[in-house]
Amino acid sequence: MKTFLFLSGPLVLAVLVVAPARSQEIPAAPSREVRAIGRSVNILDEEGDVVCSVRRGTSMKAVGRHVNEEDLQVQVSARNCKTSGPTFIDRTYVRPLNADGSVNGNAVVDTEGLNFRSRPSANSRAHCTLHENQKVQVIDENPPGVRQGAWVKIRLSEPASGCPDEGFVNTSYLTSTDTYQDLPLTGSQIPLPPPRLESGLGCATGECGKENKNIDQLGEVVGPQNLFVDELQKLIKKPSHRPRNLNKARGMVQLPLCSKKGFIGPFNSFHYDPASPGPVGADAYANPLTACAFSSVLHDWDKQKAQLCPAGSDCQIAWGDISHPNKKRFNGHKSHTRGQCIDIRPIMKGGFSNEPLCHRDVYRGGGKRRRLVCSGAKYDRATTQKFVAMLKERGGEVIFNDPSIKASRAGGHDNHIHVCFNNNANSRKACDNFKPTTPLCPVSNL
Amino acid sequence: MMISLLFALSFAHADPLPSCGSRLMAFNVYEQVVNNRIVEKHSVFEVGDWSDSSAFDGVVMKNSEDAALVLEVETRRSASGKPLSSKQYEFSPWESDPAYRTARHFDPREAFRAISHKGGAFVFRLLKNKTSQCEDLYVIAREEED
Repeated sequence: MKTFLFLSGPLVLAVLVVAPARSQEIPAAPSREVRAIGRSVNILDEEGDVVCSVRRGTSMKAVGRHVNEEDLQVQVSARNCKTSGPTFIDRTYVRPLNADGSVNGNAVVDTEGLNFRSRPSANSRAHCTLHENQKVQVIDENPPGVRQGAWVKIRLSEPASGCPDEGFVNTSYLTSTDTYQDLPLTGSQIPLPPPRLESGLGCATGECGKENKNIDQLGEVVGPQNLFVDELQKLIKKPSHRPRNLNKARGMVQLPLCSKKGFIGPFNSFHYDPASPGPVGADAYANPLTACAFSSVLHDWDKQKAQLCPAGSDCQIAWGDISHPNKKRFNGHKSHTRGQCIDIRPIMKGGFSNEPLCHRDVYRGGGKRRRLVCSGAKYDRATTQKFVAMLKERGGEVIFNDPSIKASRAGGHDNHIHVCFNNNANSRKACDNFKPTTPLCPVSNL
Repeated sequence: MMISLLFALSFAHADPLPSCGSRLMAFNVYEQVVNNRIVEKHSVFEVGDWSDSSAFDGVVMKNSEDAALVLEVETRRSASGKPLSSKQYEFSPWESDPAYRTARHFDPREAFRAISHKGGAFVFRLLKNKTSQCEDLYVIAREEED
């Protein structure tokens, strides 16, 4: 009897548990139909690596919202998107569908003073500006003649005086009013590793011998100085490669830093605001090809300083935000999401100090907008021109608003250079040819 | 008599405050390689508009300025908008450079956090006995194309 009870107990319990499931309908998990609005939108795995891309107009089922509140978990039926784990899409690049299959274009402006333009171009006339949280209706996701996904045509329900009913805005500044609150939370944050700090102190004093070894923050010898570049080159050829001694997140790698506070970057570069947003180095994640091409610029600039820079000038490259391992839109950036773009200060005259070039338009003569506070006397235009030329030669696409410098223009880029190293022949060539001959961190305080 | 008094008062009210100019300066503290050693340095420079690429760590004024001056920091959603917040900070000696006093508890990143990614404006004002001595308006700039 005792034995019978022992054996039958779990059996009875199992029947009790299973029985209701047979007699009741299991409620369907909430899901939503969404449609891709970008020309080619990446589908990501849980670690943020790209699984595949889907074309504009592709419909998919959203089954959850990621805890980062930026992505949706989606089920994609495309054959090349099959993977064993869950897949995600950036919710900026999808629009929810109404019950009848039409796109829900209800959105709000997510910045103050958004230009409402006559044509889908930053060079077109702005009719007026829109206010933060102002409601709009997207009526054309892909206006003809523009890069898809960059500009949308919208209609205002209550246009202010002087504003027409319809016009164009940069799509980056619109947020769907649909926050997908009915979908369950899913996914997890990528744990933020400690910053990758490199030490080359021994090498700088010649103690490393012929191998020119590198020492990490734990004092461990991790290999020759160009290990960083070797690992990047392997990663570019094989994205699944797990690089030694490099932090990796969302398909990006962290640029090594040479000092505890993070101001000293590779090859004698300067990294400004390294702890914003903290911890140190969380803003220094780059796509492997970008990291490689940009490092080649840092290395070669440092080696050629004597020829490129005027006498008495430190001529140091000061770089800031790249991308963040977790936050796609950190510091308000919308073009620093995949580690391909870097903010860099223009070159300054004289000895280097962590002094920003004033934001006010020193390049536009100062009279057009407001009174001029900064003289711009420290700005070294001639050397900045050489630096921009080197960036472009290595495949960089440059935005900078000094009209004397050959680059693209865009609002907000008066006081810094914005360079993106996309996958092109020049950036690949720059990386393939990059064989560093000087230490990554000539000096460190680790 | 009454009319001329009103006239004078209206003009007095319309007078803008003078600029603080170089009385109030911004600073950054950072690391730099000097003679193969990493040392901590600081730079003092004119206050300018705020952005991720032109951020500063705080503000200072020379010791020769009146020690009773107080810094008032006002934030706005736009240059002509209503104040969002306003806070006052006292100055005290700056350990990085004895020639200056610093608004010790003023952290611009913290003060501008709420609006720095959306764009807005801030006002620096020097007060003495609660009376404004000078002020300057600066833009908090977005670093994105629009």
